Amino acid sequence: MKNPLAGVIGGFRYPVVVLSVAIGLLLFVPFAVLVATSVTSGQLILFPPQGFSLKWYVSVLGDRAWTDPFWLSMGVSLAATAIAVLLGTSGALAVHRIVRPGVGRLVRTLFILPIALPPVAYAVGLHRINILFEGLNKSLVVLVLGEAIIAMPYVFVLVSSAMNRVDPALRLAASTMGASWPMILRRVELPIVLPTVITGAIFAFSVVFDEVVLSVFLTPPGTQTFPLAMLSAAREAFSPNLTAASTMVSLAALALLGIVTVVGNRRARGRRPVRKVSST
Amino acid sequence: MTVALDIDDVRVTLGHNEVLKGVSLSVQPGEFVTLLGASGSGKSTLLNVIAGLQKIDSGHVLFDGENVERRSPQKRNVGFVFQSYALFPHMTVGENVSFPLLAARRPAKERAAVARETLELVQLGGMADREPASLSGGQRQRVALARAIAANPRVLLLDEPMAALDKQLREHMQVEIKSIQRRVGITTIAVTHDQTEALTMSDRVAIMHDGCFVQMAAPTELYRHPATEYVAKFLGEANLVPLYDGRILPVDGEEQKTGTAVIRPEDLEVLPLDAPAMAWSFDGIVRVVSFQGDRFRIEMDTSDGRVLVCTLPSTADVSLLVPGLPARLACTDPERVHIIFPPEILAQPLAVGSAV
Amino acid sequence: MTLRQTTEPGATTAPGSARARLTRFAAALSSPSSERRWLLWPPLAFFAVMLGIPMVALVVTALSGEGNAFAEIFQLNVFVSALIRTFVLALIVTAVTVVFGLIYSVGLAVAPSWLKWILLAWLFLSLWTSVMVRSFGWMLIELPLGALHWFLSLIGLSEVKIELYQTTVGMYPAMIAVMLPFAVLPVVAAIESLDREQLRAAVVYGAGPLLAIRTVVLPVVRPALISGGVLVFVMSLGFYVTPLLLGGPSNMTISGLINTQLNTANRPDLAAAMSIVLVAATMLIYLVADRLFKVSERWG
Repeated sequence: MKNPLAGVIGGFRYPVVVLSVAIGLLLFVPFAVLVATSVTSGQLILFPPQGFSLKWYVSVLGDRAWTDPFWLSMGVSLAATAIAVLLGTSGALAVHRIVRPGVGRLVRTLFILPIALPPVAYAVGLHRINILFEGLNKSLVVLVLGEAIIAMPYVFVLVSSAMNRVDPALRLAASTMGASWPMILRRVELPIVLPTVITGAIFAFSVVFDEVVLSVFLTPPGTQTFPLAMLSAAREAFSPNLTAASTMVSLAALALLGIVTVVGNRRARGRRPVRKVSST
Repeated sequence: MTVALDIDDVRVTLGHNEVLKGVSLSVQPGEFVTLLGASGSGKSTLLNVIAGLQKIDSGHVLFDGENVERRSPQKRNVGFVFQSYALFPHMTVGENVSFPLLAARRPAKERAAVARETLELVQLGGMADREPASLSGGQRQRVALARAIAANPRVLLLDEPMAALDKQLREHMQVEIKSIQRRVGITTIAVTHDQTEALTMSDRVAIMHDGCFVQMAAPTELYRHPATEYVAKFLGEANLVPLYDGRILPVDGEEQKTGTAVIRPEDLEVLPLDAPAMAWSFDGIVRVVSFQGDRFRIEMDTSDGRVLVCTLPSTADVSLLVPGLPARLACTDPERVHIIFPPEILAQPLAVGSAV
Repeated sequence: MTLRQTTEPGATTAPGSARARLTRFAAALSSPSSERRWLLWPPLAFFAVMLGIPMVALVVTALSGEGNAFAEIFQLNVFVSALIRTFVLALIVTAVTVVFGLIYSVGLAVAPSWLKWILLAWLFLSLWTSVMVRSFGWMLIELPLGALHWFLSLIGLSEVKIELYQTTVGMYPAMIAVMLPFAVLPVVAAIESLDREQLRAAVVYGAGPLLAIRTVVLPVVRPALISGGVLVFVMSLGFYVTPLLLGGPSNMTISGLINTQLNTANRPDLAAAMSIVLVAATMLIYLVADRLFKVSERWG
């Protein structure tokens, strides 16, 4: 199934493809170099790597300076994701119930706004809260809540676009059959968007896990999240430990998100015929 | 549990647009009434008003004389078949059909039994465990119908129920729906823009135009005696011929010269050019003769600049009709000619809904 | 040419269409009941608290210094130059990213299918790995004895002295690469939605590549380019990690400067004032762009 665009652009096809590969190398080469340096058997980060060894992976996995931050990040990300999923899904369902298009647009913009929020400025603001309310700065409360705000737009966007694909007549049908709104929510809408909610949760988790700026400002003294540990390592002791750790979390993220995307696409393909609605 | 349905002077305004301009309608228990009109005529809005999905500015909706216009859709107990069928994609056919009972918190056993019975009724017995996605268009429509009637609703509402079906299936399902409706005996209101569908299924058809009823009558009556030119043109093909000197009818003893004659294409026949002229004969030049399988369709330009359409059985001899040559079409039975009088002449008893 | 009559899922609906009408009914249905209150108020309250309080805290901090922090920062050379640098940086990164994004998306559509999978894999590789990890990769390339040095000596150019690490020039490729996926994704979606029959019609009627692109492709792709560009620009304004790792102290962005003011210079009032300026500028740009180009509507 060749894209007719190829026919349209005719002779421009070859330079475009060559340029695309060149641009693609910008995306790929840094990661390849990073992975390569992590399997070195030498003591230094060098490219090309000297020999092959997985000793740096073993070293990271056995080093509490890496594993402690990892588990802390898991906890923070899970908590922030839970909040983001709950509120983002709720918001996406609510936006589809707003009658006036102007209000709907406004709320939609608000929910997507955190994507555009400059993280350092936001972190400084949250940092001030930690300072103003003593006791908070020894806890992770503000960090978790802040990360939830940053992750919420991803959940909102995904669930909201899933709601766009749901036949609006389903709700009307359910209500003419006597179902109250909590029942429609529980029996009709949530089951339909549940796969998307799960996808959104995993994306949100990945966003929070990778997010470093809030950690820089909000992690209590003496503790580190995983990205913060990576950042410190990059600025202080640039060793193959860092690239090994980076490779591991990246591969884990790629595997997780890859599976979610493939499964999601397969499901969407299976469902498509139901949603074909002809209009007059 | 079938009811009489009354709509009394219902008005609906959406934005600055008055969609329903005070419509009234009385439907007998068990009657099948179709609202027929072009898109934007207000027919779907009226259906949604009955279901409670659309709020009204003023007027009343009554089920068996009981005001329901303040009730939410959940409390009206209507069955609604949507254009898209709105089957729940994540539920089985059986779960879809028994959803109204789930909403009423009936026990699982009863739900399963009702689903089974209702699916039998629409000839989908044994399909309860299938997924809606695995069904054909016609089967999905039956599921939607079964779901709409599963909880013994007081009124059944059908919104363009055939829109998603192809032509052949559509004709089959029109008869099928009508027969199920008659068996269940439920008061039914359907909305469509397809005249054949309306004529086939309904006991009465209400023509809507611009937020008002134009005429409401049994299908044959509507076709034979349209109240306005709009109705005449909307239902089937019609030749509209203005009355003037030489083609006049006596009304209440007076000679009436203003009005429009409606002559259906199948009521015209071909006469020899040398035959004596008569009240409803027209001379002109043949424009097109086309063979349509079950009939011939002839278009003729008349001398006064009109195009007349005439259909002849496929067995007719059309050798005399040659495009570009003169011909004479006539309606030999004056009974077949229906006259529409302008409103100011129309006597009150002749108003909308009755025969002229 | 017949118009497509089916309403595709997610398709924009004309106001008068049956689907739009149903959507309106479905929305209106909930208007009197408590459901919107229960669904909408919790997230809105969370937003109000978690966005409102930090902003109030910033204002309080900015005003708590000895002098007028806002007046002071605009008299600081480092601030003004960082401000200008950040904007220029964001502009250049956005411009290059949008052009690259367009080329890459078209490349994805027209490449032979084996190459398409590779390009797609590269795209998702960088979309799903963290900005910081990708920046590490660029560090490894640009370090004085890094991968680029190795590559140049390999092809016999070891004489060429490269100084990229912690320079302005060295910062750009990394930032462009980091932002590229955000510009590619909307354009890929737009190209997917191109009407294939229109494309074929353009070819059949003998339109050359430039005419066909201008009349058929560009109108569909332009909104996607704009929304991708707005997103990249706004995110670039807040850039912190990549410039920190690759730009060095002489290339500080506003975000970097805020961090310095807070943690090194110990002037929280200045840091807060700068944060307010940055947030205000970013939000203003985003909201104006959203109003003009309906960016957020394209995001679900």
